[in-house]
Amino acid sequence: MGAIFKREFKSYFTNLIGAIYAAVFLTVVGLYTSVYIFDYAYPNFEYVIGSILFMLIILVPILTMRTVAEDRKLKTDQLLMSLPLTSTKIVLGKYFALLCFYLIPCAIICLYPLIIAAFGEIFWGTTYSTLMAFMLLSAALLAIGMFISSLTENQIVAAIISVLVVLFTYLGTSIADIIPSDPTISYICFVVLALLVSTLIYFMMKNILVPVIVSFVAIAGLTIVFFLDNTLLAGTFPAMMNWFSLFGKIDYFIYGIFDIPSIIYYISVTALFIFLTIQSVDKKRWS
Amino acid sequence: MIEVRNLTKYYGPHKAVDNLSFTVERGQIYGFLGPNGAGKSTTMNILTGCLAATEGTVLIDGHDILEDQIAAKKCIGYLPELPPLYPDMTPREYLMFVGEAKGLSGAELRKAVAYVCKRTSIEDVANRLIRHLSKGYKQRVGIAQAILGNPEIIILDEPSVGLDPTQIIEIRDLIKDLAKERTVILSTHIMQEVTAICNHVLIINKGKLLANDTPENLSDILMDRTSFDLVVKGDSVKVLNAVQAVKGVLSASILDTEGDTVHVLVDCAKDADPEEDIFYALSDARCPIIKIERQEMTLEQVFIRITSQNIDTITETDSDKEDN
Repeated sequence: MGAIFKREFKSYFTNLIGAIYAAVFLTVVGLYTSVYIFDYAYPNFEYVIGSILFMLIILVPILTMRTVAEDRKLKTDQLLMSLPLTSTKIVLGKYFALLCFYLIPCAIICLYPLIIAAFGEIFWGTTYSTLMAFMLLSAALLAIGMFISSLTENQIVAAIISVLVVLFTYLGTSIADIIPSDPTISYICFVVLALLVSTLIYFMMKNILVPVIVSFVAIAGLTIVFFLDNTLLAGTFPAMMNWFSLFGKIDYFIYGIFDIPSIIYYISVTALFIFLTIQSVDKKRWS
Repeated sequence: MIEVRNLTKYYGPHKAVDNLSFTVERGQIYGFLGPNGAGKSTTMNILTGCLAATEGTVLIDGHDILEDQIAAKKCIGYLPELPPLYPDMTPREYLMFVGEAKGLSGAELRKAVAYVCKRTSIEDVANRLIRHLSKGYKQRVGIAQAILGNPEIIILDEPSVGLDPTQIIEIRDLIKDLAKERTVILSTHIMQEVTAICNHVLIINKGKLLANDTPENLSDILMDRTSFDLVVKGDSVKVLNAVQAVKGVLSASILDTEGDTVHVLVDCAKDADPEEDIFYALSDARCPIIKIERQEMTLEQVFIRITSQNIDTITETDSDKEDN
């Protein structure tokens, strides 16, 4: 794992993408900091964090798109597979290198509240718990991005899918708000979701039978529930969207609540997608 | 060293490897020979654990490649078809990475990297980016990676692709040298390579193992007759009559005549040894021999015959040989 970590971590420094990420990240945070803190004189660095979340829609995919896809393209996955390393070690090495590089600019912005404190009163607890939540949110998004990268050998495809997925979780709460709680709407949305999940399974397994069974069972179940007692479906889709909205959870921290379930949620999502990436890398062998 | 049992691999409905079984002994150079798409690379990927077989097992030094993969992979150095290189690293950085992943560290690692750089003569380019190297150098970095850390078994998929003739000879010498204490398996579709370095040949076609023997035995098996190339000075009719009268000669035919010399191809029974008789027969006929040469069947001919032949006949020939 150490060797993979070192190689991957170094590669971000020789890669243009690493530099672009750091530059965009620091510029955007710097801009919002100067506007919020120095122009509007808010002493709340957590507002800055709350406003810059949109940049993750672009920054996460450009960092994660190459993680696994590039190895497939360069055929270096054959090298990694033939070395005495398990898939778990390969994926963990890659993930921690990605996370550590990601956290470098984050560590720099962690110093900003200290500078701000020199000019006025700041809320230490809220500020730093928001920063921590921001890092946990990023960690979860990076794991999702890495998983998407492991599904394809084309980095551009990986990037586009990642942008869409991150965008979806970003808009999650807003979409949930505009979707009516009507059971028919929920039913339709769930059917669409079942089909999307089945498509994803198809691309992962390259097998038509399993996704067909999954979508059939899901749609049949939904239809039965819908016709027996459609009140059960009322409002469930917006509720689920809220639950899936990774970005929504950080609001608690910005409002000054140290929400432990959200922390567990972020860590669980991270672990789940690392696990799925390991499966996806392992699966390549069985194709 | 390696034991392969009933290996089968499907890509969807396509059968890439079909019930392959063989064993590999220590200290030998095995040549995997087969036309394009024969299943050579697939088999090598399965041997090295990059690919899982649909059926069958691979034991590397007693360790199952899937169940006990770390122990098994520690014994293997692998160069895939395309050298698996990171273009944004220098060969030295790259080899340090591979060495570390193979479990080397500190002075031992630096020594091992310096050794393989020397053996594959890439010292001059060791600090240049791999991206900027020529194909031959890339191939050599790939070989360096495979032999790094002295693995017991070295598996090379078409190692001489992209190398110039001098480099090919260098690499062949390197492989021969490595095989003194280790086992080498290489795949190729170049016959001379097999004849030049391998002491064992595995011929596969369409995923099936067609032959598994030494290059010499293979040509023996397939040779039901011995041929001689004869250049004789004298009248063609006289020469032909004299040669055909020799015991053991099945047929003789004139290939061409040039001035007063005749070029004759003589086919004899497999076990006949008629050189001396031919000499005296022609000497009696006052037709001096300019050249007489026994024709060896080249591996190339063996290969073409085997891959175009029905598999059953090969098995028959094999069992015939065992009976003898």
